[in-house]
Amino acid sequence: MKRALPWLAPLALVPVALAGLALWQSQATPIWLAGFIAACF
Amino acid sequence: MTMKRRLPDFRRMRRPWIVIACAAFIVTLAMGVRQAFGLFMPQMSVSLGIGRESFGLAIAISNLVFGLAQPFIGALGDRYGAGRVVLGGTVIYIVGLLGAAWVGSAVGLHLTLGFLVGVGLAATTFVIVLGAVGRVVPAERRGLAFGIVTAGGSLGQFLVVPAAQMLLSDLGYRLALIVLAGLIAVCAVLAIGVAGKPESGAEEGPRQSLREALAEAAAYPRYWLLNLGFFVCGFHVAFIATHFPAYLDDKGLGLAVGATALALVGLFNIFGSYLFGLSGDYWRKNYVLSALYAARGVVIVIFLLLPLTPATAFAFAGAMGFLWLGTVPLTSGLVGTMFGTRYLSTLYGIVFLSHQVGSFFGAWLAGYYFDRSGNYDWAWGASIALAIFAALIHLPVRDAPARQAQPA
Repeated sequence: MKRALPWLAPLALVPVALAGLALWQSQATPIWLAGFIAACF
Repeated sequence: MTMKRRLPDFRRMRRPWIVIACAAFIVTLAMGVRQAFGLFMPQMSVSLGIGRESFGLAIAISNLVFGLAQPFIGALGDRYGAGRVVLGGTVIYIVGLLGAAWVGSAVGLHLTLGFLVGVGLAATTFVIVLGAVGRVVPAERRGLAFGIVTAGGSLGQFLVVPAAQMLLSDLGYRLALIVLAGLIAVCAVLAIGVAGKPESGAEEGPRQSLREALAEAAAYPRYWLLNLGFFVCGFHVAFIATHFPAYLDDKGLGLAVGATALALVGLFNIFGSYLFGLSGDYWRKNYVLSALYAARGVVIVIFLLLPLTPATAFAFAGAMGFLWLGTVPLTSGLVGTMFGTRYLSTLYGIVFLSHQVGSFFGAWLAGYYFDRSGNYDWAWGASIALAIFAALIHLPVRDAPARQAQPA
């Protein structure tokens, strides 16, 4: 278990990721339409 | 691949964790806010009466200055310490954002959102903070540390973009820019965590002047291979981030699928950045990079061979997202291994400039050939060829000090 800890650490971010996905879901189409592509690189 | 070690010794990293945490939060804010600029285009174009080309030019100037200033600001970081540079960069970033909120012309926008924000970004992102982190973390733990910091930047890109869209919708662009400037101001406090003179760190590598370090790097062919590899990374991410939603829309999948695909790129990028960084502590970083670039090529080929559906588009976005910024901790880690950490920000800053040049060509050439052919066939083909090229050129790169790898 101790050896696997560093590899499993990102699982702690899953709640944040789910919250972020919900935020994206509510804003996704306006984001694309607003020209998000212009700032991606 | 050679298994080098098993488990990081976290007890030895207790104090460095403060530097790592502050560095990760700094790039979370700086990269996150940067990624939201495109959202301001419609409102600002109408309000300033400047047209989208002029707004796009401000973003392009920002990206160009970000890349061109990086080696020089990296040198400042190596001389005066990351804390002072982040503090100065934060002030410039804030002035740029507040200036953008108040300007009334295209020239003003180019100066603020373009030039000032570009300089601010160069002083508050990966190149500067990774230099500070590299100096306090032992070489064998650097992959983990760099992976955490890079994942911080990826998290910012993922979370700040939709949050900024909400601000724009609710407050309008001027107040939204002021709120984002307030967010960036937090970096001034976090700068304390990465402060410290480079000379006082426990960096490895020979004692030499900046000029000697630059001469050594310039004469080391494997350093130039890293530059070429990072050019490919920039080409890939700029092509896909800029043109992939439009590609999906052209194929009839609609805007919502393109937007969700970008979100998935951002989401999986968080995990990929960390895990590829961690991999660099277990396997030779150049081999991991070769595998990463080869995987990008394989993912693109499979995506093009499969029938295009929302499911395959999402799977592609997730896979590419996972492979997105994993190159950052590995490439910066290799620079640190090759030349030590004394001039890491300067030498990695040069490699980062190569990334930005690749980004420029990835975004521009794909559009250039699309306008002439009506499809992205050339761009996909070039991406596959470049992935193979990058996978091959990292094989002879050595995950070892340059002086040790060079024949006497």
